[in-house]
Amino acid sequence: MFAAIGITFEESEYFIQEFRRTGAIDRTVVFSNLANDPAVERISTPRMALTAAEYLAFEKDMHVLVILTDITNYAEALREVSAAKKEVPGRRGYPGYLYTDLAQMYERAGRRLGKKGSITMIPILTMPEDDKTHPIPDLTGYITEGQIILSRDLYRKGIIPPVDVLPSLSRLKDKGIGEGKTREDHSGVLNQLFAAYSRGKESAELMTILGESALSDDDKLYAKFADAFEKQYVNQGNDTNRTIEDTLTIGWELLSILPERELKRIKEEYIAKYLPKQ
Amino acid sequence: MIKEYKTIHEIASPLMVVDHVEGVTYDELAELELPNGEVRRCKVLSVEGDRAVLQLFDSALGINLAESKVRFLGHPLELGVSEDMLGRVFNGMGDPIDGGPAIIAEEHRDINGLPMNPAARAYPAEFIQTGVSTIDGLNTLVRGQKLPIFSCSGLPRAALAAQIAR
Amino acid sequence: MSGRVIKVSGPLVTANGLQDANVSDVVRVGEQQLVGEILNMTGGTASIQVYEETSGLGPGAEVITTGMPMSVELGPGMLENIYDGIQRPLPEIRALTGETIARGVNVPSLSRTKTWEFVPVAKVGDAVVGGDILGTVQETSAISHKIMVPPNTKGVITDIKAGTFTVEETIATLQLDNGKTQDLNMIQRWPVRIQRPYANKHTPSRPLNSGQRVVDTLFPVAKGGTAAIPGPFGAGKTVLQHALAKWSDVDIVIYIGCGERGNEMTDVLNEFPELVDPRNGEPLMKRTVLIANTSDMPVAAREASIYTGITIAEYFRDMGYDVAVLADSTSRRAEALREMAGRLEEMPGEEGYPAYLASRIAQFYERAGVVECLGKDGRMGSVTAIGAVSPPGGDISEPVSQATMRIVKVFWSLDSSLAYARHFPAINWMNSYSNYDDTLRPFYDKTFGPTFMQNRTKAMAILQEENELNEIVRLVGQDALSADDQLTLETARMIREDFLQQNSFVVEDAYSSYDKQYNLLDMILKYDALCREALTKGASLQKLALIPARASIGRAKTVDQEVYSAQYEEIIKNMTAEINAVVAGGEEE
Repeated sequence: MFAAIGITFEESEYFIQEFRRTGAIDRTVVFSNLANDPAVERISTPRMALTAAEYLAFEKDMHVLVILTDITNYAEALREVSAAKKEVPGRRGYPGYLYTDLAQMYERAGRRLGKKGSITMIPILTMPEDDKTHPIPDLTGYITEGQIILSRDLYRKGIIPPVDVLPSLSRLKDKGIGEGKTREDHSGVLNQLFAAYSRGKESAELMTILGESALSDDDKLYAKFADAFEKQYVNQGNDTNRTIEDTLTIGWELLSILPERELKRIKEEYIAKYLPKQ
Repeated sequence: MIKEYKTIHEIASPLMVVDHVEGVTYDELAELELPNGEVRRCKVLSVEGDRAVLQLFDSALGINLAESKVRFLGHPLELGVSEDMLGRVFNGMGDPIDGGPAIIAEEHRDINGLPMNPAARAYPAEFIQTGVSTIDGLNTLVRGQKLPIFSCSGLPRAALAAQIAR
Repeated sequence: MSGRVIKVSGPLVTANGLQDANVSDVVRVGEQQLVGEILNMTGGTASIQVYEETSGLGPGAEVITTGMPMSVELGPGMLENIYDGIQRPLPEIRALTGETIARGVNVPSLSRTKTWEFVPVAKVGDAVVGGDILGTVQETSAISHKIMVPPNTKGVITDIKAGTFTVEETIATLQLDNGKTQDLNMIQRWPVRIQRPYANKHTPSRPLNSGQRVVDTLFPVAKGGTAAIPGPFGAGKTVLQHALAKWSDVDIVIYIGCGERGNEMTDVLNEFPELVDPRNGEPLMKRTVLIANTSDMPVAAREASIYTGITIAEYFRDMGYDVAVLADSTSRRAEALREMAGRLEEMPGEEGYPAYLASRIAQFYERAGVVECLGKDGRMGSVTAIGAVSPPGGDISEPVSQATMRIVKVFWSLDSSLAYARHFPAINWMNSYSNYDDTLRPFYDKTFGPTFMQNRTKAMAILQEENELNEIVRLVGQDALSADDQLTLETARMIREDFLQQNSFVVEDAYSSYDKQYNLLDMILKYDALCREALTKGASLQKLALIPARASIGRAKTVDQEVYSAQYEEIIKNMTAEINAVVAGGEEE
C-alpha cells in the first residue's frame, strides 16, 4: 500500500518504477496525491490507504506493508485547514490535536488476535530544518514504535544508507529477536554495538580536539571501531541484501577490534562461541 | 431522500457555510454541484441549528454562491474496498486515476476506521528480514510494527524505503 | 429528563432543554447512546463533552441525563481486568463488537453474573461506620478484597451472611440511626472527581522498593509519595513505567495508559500473567488493574481515565493496601484538556493550555499519600502516584513539566544522550532528584545499617566529581590527570555501567533486591578504596584496571538473585588478592 501525500511526481514515480522493477506492482495499491493536487485531499489520502489496508489485512488475511510519504506534507495540510477554521494554534501553528490526529492514523497498524493478516507501517517524514524536536517528528516519535533517523553528516561522508544509528530505535525489537527468531546472541551483540559505537564516537571527537596521543589505548581502539562500524556495517549501499547471519557476522568482526574484557554486554558463552579468534 | 440546498451563505476556502439545512450530521459527506454540472466534494465540520460549516476537499475556484447546489449524502467519507484494488492507482479521494475500470466494492468503509481494542491486539513479535544491517541488526522491524523514517530534506529516504519494501 | 442537540463540533456537543440536569452529569447522546459529560450549563443549555466519536450526530438528536456525575463501580472483579477511560471492560466490549470498539457500547464495569465467595468478619449486632470491614472475598490468588461499609454510612448490622453472591446481591443489612434499614451489596459507586475520604493523612516514611538500582539507591520514592518521569521519546519512559509496575513492592498496581500506544497495553496484558512477583510467587496480573485510553481512542475520555485510575487506587488503599498508580502519560491528559478548552473557546493560557492546567495536575498528585483509613481498626494504606511526562522536544521548560515539577517530590529525568548510548534506565543522575532522601534515611539506617546511605552519598560524590573531571579531560586530555583522579573516572564508569545500568529484558538483572543493590555498590566502592590505597604504595593504575576481578564486577549485576551473595564474596576475595599482587609486583619492579 503506497500513499503519496503531497510529494513530487518524480519521487512518486521512483517508487512506482521500483515496484515495477521488483515485480511488486501487481500486489501494490497506490493512493496518489501529488504536490499539485488539492492540499485538503492530503488529509484523506493516508486514511484511504489505511482503510484499504485494514480490509486486505483483516478480511483477506494479507500481510500489508503501508508506506506513507510524506507525513510533513500531511501535517501542513492539517495546519492549513485548522488555520482556516480559526482554531487556537498549538506549537508552531500546528493544531493542538495534531498528536491525536496522527495517532489515529499510526495506531491502525498492528495485528489482531485471531486474524492472520497484519499491517506494518513505514511513514516517511522530513524533519524541517533537520530538527528532531520539530512537532511533526516529535509527536510521531511519541506514537510510533521507534524511528529510523537519517543523517546528513553520514550522507556527506558517502555512507549509504545514511542511518544515524544512535538516535534510531525499534521499540519492538526485544520480542522479535533471539533464539528461534534470529539468533541467540543478537540481543547482546546489538547492545554491545550501540554502546561501543556511542563511546567510539566520543573518543573520535576527543581525538579531533586533542590529537591521538591524548587518548588512552582503549579510546584509540574505540575510535577505530566507530570508523570501521560506519564504513562496514552501516555503509552497505542500496543494492546489497544481507541476511541476518551476515549482519551478525560483520558485527562480531567489528567487536573483535575491542579488547574482549570490554564486551560486558554479551554473555560469556556467546563470546566463546562467536567472537573471531585472533 | 437526499435534499438539495441552494443556500450557500459564505465561502472562505477551504470552508463553506450553508444555511437552512435540516437533518445534517457532523462529519457527513456532501457534494457541491456547480452550474456547469461539475461536482466537488466536501464534509461537515460542525453543525449548529440549521447552519452547517463544511470543508471543501477541492479548490473554491469559480463557485457561484447563488447558483451552486449542495447535497448532503447521509454518510461520512467512505472507500469502497475489494481485492481488485491490487495493482491499481487512486487519487486521495479514492477514485481510480489509472484509466482502469471502476472498482466493484465488496463493502464501503468509513475512512476514519474505529479505534482498535487493546484487548484484541496481538503483540507484534515476528522478525522481518529487510536485508539492511542497521535495521535487522540494530533496529529490528517486526510484522505489524509502525516504524517511521525521519529524513532531512535532500537525503535518499525513498531509496531506503524501497530497499525495505523489497 | 431529556433535551435536544443544537450544535455538534467534534467531541463538543451543545444541547438545550436540560434545565433539570446538573453540571458534571453523565448524559447519553443520540440514537447510539454515546456517553458524554456536562461541562457547563447556561440556563437549560449544556455544553457536553462526548467520550465517543460524534460522526453522524446532528441537531435534534435526543440527550438524556443519568442524573449522576461520572462515577466508577468499585467491588470485586477489577483486578486482572482492563478498562477503557470510563471504566468499560475491554474484554467484554471485544466479545460484543469484535476487535474494534464500536460506539455506544453499554457494559457494566463489574460482571453481574460472576459470583464471589463472601466470608463475613463482622457479625449481627456489630455497630459499624463507613470503612469498617464487613467481610472478605478472595478476588485473586494474590489479593483478598475487603468488602467495606461505604463512606458516610453508619448503623448496626441486622443481617450478614456467608456464601456465594454476585456483586449485586445483598450480603448485609444495616439498621441506620434514623431507624431505616439499608441493604448492602458488594458494589460501591464513587464519583471520580471527588477524592475518597480517609481518617488522617501521614507523612510518607517507608521507601517503595522498585527493584531498580538507580531508583532505590539514588533517587528513592516513598510509599504514598509522588514522582514524575519526564523524557523525550525513545528515552525509555514506558519501559521504566513497566519495570516499576512489575517489581514495586506494593500490593496493588493501577496502570493507566493515557493517550499512548495500544501495543504497550497489549504487552502488559501478555506479559504480566507470565511474570511472577518475587515476593509472593504470584503472577503479577493478579494484583494489577489496567486502564487503557490509547491514543486512537476518543480524546475526551483521556482526562477521565486519570480520574478513573486514581479513584480505583483510593478504593484499594481504603482496604489498607499499598497501591501504586502509574500514569503514562500525563502530558496527553493535559493536551486533552487543552483541546476541550479550545473548543469551549476558553481564554488560553501558556502554550494554549487552559489557565487551570496546574491545578488539575496538582489534583491528581494530591490524591496520593499515606492515610489512616476510615473504619475503627485504624489500618493504614497508601497511594503512590507516578506520572510520565512527555515534553515536546524533550524540553522541560514547557507548562506541563513545570507544573508537575512544582508538585512532585521525585523527579527521574530521562536523557536522550544516555538512551542513545543504551544506558538504561536513562535516568540522568546529575539533574534528577528525590526529596525523600531525608525522610527515608531513618528507615534505611534502621533496616540496612548506616552504610547504605553513606555509600549512596559516596557514589553521588564520585559521579559529581566525574562530571567536573570530564570538563578537564575535554580540554587537556586524560593524561594530564593525577592517578587518583583517573581512578575516580574509572570508579565513576563502574558505577554507571556496572551498577546504574540495568537491563529490563535480562531476567537476572530486571529486579534487584535491596541487599543485592547494597552489596554491588559496596563492592565497587571497595575496589575504589583498595585501588586508592594501592596507588599510594606506587601501584600502576593501568595494571589495577586490568585485574580479572574488574571484569567479574562488570558481570556481577547479572548474577542470579539466589547465588549472588556467595559469588560477590568470591569476587571481593579475588579482587583483594589481585590488587595486593599488583602492589607487590610494583614493588619488585
